[in-house]
Amino acid sequence: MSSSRSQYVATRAVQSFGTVLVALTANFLIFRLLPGNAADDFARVPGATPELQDALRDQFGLDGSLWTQYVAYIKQLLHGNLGTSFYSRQPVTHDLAVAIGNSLPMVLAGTLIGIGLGVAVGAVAAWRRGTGFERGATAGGLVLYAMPAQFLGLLLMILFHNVLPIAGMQDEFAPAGQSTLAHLHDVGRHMILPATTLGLIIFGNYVVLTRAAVLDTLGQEYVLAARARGFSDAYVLREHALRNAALPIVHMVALSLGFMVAGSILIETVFSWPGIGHAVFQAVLARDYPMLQGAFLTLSVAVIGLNFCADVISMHLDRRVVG
Amino acid sequence: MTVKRAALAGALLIVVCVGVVVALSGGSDSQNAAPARSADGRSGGALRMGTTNGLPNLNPFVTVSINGLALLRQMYPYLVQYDLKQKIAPDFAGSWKASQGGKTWTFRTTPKARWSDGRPLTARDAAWTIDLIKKYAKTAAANLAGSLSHVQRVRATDERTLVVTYDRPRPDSTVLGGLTRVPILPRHIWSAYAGDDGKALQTVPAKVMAVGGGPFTLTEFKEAQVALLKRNDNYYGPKPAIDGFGLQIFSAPEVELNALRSGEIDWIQSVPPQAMSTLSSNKSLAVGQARSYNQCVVSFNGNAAHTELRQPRVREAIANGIDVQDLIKVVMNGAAIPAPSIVPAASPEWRDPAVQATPFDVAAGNRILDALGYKKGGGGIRTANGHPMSYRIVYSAINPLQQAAVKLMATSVRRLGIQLIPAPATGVGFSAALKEDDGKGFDSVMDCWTSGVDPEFIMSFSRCDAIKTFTETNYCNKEFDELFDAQSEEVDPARRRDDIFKMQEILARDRPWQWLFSPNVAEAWSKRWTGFTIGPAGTLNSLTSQALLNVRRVDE
Amino acid sequence: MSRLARLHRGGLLGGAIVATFAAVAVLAPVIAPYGVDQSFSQIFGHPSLAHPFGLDDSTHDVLTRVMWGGRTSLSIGLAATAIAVLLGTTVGVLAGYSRGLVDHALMRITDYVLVLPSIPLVIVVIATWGPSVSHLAIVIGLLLWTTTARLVRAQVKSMRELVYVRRAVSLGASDARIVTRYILPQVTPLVLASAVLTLAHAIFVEAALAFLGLGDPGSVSWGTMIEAAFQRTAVSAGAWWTIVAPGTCIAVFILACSLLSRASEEALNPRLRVAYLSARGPRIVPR
Repeated sequence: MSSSRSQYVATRAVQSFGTVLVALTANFLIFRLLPGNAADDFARVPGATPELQDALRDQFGLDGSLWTQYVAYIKQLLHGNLGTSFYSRQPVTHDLAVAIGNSLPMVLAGTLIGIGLGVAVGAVAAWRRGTGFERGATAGGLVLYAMPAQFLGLLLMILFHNVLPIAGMQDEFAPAGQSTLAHLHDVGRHMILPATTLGLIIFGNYVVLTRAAVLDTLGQEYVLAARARGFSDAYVLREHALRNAALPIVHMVALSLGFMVAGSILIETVFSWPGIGHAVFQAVLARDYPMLQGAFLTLSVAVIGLNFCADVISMHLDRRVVG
Repeated sequence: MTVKRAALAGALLIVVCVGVVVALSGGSDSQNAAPARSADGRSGGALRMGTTNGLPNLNPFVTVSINGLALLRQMYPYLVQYDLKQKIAPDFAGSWKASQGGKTWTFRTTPKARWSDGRPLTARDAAWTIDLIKKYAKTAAANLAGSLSHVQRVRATDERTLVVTYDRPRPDSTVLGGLTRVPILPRHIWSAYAGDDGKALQTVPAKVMAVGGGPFTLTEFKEAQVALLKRNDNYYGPKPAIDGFGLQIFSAPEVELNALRSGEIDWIQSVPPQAMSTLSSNKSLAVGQARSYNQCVVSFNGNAAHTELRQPRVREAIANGIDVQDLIKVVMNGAAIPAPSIVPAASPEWRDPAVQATPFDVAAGNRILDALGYKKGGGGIRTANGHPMSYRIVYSAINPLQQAAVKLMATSVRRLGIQLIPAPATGVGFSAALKEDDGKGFDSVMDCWTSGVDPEFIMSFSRCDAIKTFTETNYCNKEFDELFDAQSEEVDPARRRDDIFKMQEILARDRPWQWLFSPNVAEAWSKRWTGFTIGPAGTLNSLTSQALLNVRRVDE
Repeated sequence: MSRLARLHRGGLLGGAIVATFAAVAVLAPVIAPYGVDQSFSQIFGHPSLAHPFGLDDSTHDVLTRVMWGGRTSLSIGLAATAIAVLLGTTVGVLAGYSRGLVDHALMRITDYVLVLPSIPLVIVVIATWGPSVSHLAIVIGLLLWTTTARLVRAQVKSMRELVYVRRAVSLGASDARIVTRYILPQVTPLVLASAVLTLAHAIFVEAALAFLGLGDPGSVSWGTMIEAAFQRTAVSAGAWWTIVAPGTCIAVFILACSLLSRASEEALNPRLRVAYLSARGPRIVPR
């Protein structure tokens, strides 16, 4: 890497770290400044006493000034401890790991297929400009992308509820000692509808995006020049068009993590999928601060990290971007 | 890569996806499997139950959810229980005797009982558990301590005898009712977590709950997803027919219903009113309803900034403007009964027949308000004490039943010249709304309460004390409190009933609560199963260990 | 047909659809066939001549509710868009025009808002603050300003280097004058195009919040209609129309906004290289 490139990487790294720090603090403040906390709601129980509420407050460190709480929070973070969830009384890291682990296969499957198919179809559509294929692909992509995730999920549910499972991640009542293959089969079946919902929306987005990106680069002068100099279609497409079209696509992937979380909350609610979206929503309702803080922090850091990777990748891809 | 290759790659990807989907579409889950047969030839099988009520944890020191408590009932021994007719009955304690007028209670527990891991289950475990709860009553065990609040001392004089001493003579309802809510824990498992302030008690790993002494033991628990239990062959009581059961949590009734119809589960806990007719017409499913302990109510803030709302006459006028029959018809689709009193119809022995429902009579309501001098002003809204009679009614935002009810009530109460403004609150925001502005911030609340078999629980929320912990009424009446304390110590059942009747009459007079209707328990199950005893608390409840005793498959 | 002509046709179609929805929303009290809360015979009544979109779970006419729902959804969307665009333009102009520290600080804030898990945060805020139409509009508006800000900043930055602007600066024109006389007029068309997409995005977020139970309970919106249908077991009852009617409205409206903005993007600034304005994603702007 040339020195200006490594300088760029270093700058972006510092910037990203700065954003992480902002994320940490904002994270903490957001949840402490909201009124109402979980300890209040536990009173609605036979035998609830003021002592019980005090005990809960003490246990979760809800007394003490904002500053002491913040210091404790940072200290905990440095130890890799995200606190204990109010709701389940288990460590937040554990709950988060379980939830993310549940979401990941479904989201990855939907996303990868959506992006893969979307880019392929979009690229072909751009190359085959003016044909029915291009028109159909664009129209289809636009329509799919305009669908709210919960609507598409419900449509699929209406169409397929007799054929495919529509709830949960697996058959919870499967006999114990099921073989791994059978288990995978089970989870796979349950994953089809939610992953397809996510995949279709992402597919729509990437078809439109890729087609536009490829079209645009195809219209660039350097492409014209390359073709004029006799380079083959394949070479032009590979070396210039797709390479430069990859730029916005890579950026899109990084930044669409936010959308994926939003979409996953909706899709997981529709299909009762016990993933991170569902967990976050439950945590909001229960004012489970530690869980929310942990989830927000994890998601923010993930997006920052992915952005950074995207920047580095795009730096390699676009020979003109340096800073 | 040429375009052709891109196209081929895309096509290949599509073919692979479709192939995977087709391959996976061939279903083979447990719904198609033949019923499992256990080793002793009993057909057993596992009952798959579904609910939309949350289940975040199953730790006895933590769980407050209704299904959490119901599952604990099946996992652990309790000294006493309610039978299927809601009468106190023996459980781990086969018999008991009160002496010194009710100050000392001696329990004889089941001999030769065992925990699920084979270790002896004796009165000493009971004594240890109660001691533990008393020890950490202010901290880790605060949840359970409320049921033992009057216990002074406990000891096990031998393997079969438990002596509990109270602060003063206490009636059955306090002693036995309290003990129905205290699970006995295995000392040999839990003592490892009992030291150091008891902090570890609330965060024990799931495997700790796997050893129990009830009709079933916990085999698997995924928070907020599913709990799986299998029959405990070491159980000291009558063994259920089923091999085990599981309770799956669904995010919405829609999904739960679908699972029932497609055979993925066998029983659902609560049929939404709108689905009643479609389910009833389904030939392979059965629907059962029963009067429940659940009642929905509108409460009036005794500390409201709008002082006219503190007057019983104004509250009566508003009550005249609520059409309970219409609510039952539209909101509950007919699956509810009117509820005039704080004590539900499902507890007939405690319900005061003298307390009658307030009739729906808009003219009478208007007359009352006219007589009080509250004139109608702009928009037809009356003015009182210099402000329009416009009140915020708080309710749980994600409860469609309450949402629909509040809307209907607002429409009918409008005819009195009073405006009800819906103020939905989500989750914990609900309690925050009630504490707002030192308890003056809200005018009224719509909520649904489930009382226990004994009315003491539901009445306790009307005491002056409740203002400190949780109240939707900010109600404080000395006479009521005195009666409450009297009935909690009254050993003579007839006199206690009189006290409870008087309390209902005071509440009916002061109207901090305007009770509306009681939604029925409504369960649905696959006709391949039978034996569900739908009591006022439903089939799966925390009152009885016999909840699933009679459940079995039909085809055997 | 050339690409340009097709885009224009798409734009016209999009514009026509948006205008139709707007008209229906405004005229709903007049043209709706029945009352919003008027009860009919049975829950989940099938679509018929009298009720083209059928009846919902409370025996109300779905077509009427879709019309009134459009009113609510569109008003929340428009209000949120106004807030987002105002805030975004202000930040964008400030950041693009002033260089150095101010620009840097504003961009870091924008960056953070972009990486924030926005939908969960919006959920938390609405859950705490209370779901009313005004709260929803404000919170959604505060969520969506960053895309406009980035776009405007890029445009302003490039404009700053233009000859006539530099000449005005050297002649001693005040910043305010330069901004109002030269920059704003050029930026406005871009902002309008961005606003159309922000509107689509706002409608999407409103529907998402409503689906999670955080819509305004006092009014009907397309989002709350889908939520009510789901919560009251419409799918099991086979009442697909209660979901398809409002959902299609949302999808068609968002689609129309996409078409409109694609056409206007092309018309306004065909050279704006990588601004692939897409219905929900962030913009990629030249650095």
